[in-house]
Amino acid sequence: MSVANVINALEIAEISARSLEFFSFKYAFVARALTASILVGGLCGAVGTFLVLRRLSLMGDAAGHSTLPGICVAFLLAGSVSTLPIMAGALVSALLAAIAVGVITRGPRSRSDAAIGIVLSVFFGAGIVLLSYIQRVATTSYAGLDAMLLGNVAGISPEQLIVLGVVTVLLGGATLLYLRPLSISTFDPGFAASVGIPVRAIHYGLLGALSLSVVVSVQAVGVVLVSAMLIIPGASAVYWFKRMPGVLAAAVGIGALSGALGAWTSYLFEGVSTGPAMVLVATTFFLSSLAFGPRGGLLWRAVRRRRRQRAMLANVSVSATGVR
Amino acid sequence: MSEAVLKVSGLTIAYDREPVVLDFSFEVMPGQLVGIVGPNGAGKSTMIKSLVGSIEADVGQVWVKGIEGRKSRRLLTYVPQRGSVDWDFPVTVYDVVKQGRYGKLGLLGRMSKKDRAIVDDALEKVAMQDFAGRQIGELSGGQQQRVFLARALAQQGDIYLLDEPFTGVDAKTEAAIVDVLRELRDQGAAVMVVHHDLSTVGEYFDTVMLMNKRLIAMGPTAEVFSKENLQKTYGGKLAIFDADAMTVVSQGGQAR
Repeated sequence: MSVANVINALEIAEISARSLEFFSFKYAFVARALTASILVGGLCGAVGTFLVLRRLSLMGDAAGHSTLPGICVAFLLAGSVSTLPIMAGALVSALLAAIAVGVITRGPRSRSDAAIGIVLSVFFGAGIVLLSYIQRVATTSYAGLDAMLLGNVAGISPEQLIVLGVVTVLLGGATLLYLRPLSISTFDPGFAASVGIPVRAIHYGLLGALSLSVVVSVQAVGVVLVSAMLIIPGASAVYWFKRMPGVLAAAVGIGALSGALGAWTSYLFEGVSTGPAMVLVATTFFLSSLAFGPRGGLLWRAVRRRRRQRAMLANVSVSATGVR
Repeated sequence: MSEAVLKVSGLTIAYDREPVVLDFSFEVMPGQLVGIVGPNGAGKSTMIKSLVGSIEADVGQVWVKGIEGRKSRRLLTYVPQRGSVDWDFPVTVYDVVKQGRYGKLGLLGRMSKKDRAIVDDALEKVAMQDFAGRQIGELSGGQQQRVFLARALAQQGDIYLLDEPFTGVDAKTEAAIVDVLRELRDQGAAVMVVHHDLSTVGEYFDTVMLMNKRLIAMGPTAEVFSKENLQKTYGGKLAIFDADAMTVVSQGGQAR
């Protein structure tokens, strides 16, 4: 046995042991991390599906990045990384950003993608400035604060998990309750308004749900990559189902699984932030959906094209012999 | 003489201060099939959207069956332009037609046997029953338009507003839609249709409304659909006009 093989075997043993530890719920913080990852993945998957279908994916990006200044201001005011002030700060900041996008978009001269781009970078820039300032002057520990950038699900506190759980249940329930008007107003807003669905209220409700989801998710995935967890599950799910209930369920499943596997990966490889790990897992789901999904996936499209060509060729040869 | 089912008074709508629909007043009777005709940007879609409550009018009053106010607008059945919808949306033909029952079902109501029969009937009327399980994006333009019409039928209203139902559809679909609209009219429904093809106006509609931001004329097609009125409506934009054959080539295309 060569030295390399021995190291390899040791590594595998180590990885298996750590995996067992992770999924065994032996340590409370690990159990919290795993639960939180699943909830965050599922919640973002559900809310994000509507963003994707409404072509509002960029709003997810803006909502994520724009929480940073609120988080920093809350830290400065509270003097520590306690749950509720930080979440309140993040929420205020995300809602302000959503309002700013709305106000800029309302005017005659602006485009919503430009508005989102401007708001996203201004808020994130302000957040980074505040973060650098805090790193220089803060006397108390700001360790928990950098985790907000890229996510550290292992650092989730019991209070954070409770808030996350409550928000997930509330928004999940609301999504199921309003699935019909949500779907109809996304598919055909003009018709929806004509049958009395409050299209505008639903739009703002969705933006509110987006802000809330982002706020409870940043500890796990970070402000930078939370948008990926919002967008990727929904964008993958549409390759598998032709009806809304299927798409929504698949997005929740892909999100939850990405959350769990991502948290596991970052537990195995110390120093890997949970946000990037989850996003990489989600991306593999997206790539396999893009390749193999039966509704517009590349493989099926190629197969269908081939079949069509063959059918056409058959027709051509038949008519050619007919002419003779 | 029966009462007007739709009465509009002084309707005015502006985008960025520029009025697109200026001071419209008209009435529609049951059993009337009305063609709405005018050039691109004449405000036809805008007017319809405001009637059904999809956009807010700036000034004006609308009575539906004698009732004024937002809620009465739900009695109107609206068929939007096909281009206004995301056809990649994960929804089947059956689901779309089922949306026509939303007004009755509300948030959580379940489809009764009767609702299902209504949906099936509507699909059959437009000959789309064999496509019920298809995702709507897989259909041709004409089939999509027929599904839209089926959804409208499933609403079981008696005042219909259709926005360019003949744009981008095949001849067979156009004929099928015209048949359904005539049947509705014969049953006493009031039907208004935004229409682009001037050559078929005389054949399809008993009543015509000519508009270009203002209401130019409205009345029986034989009287109102004249060379004079058309020139008032289209101005210099009208390319060829043959008064005898009533064939007109306009700039056509989609209006907003």
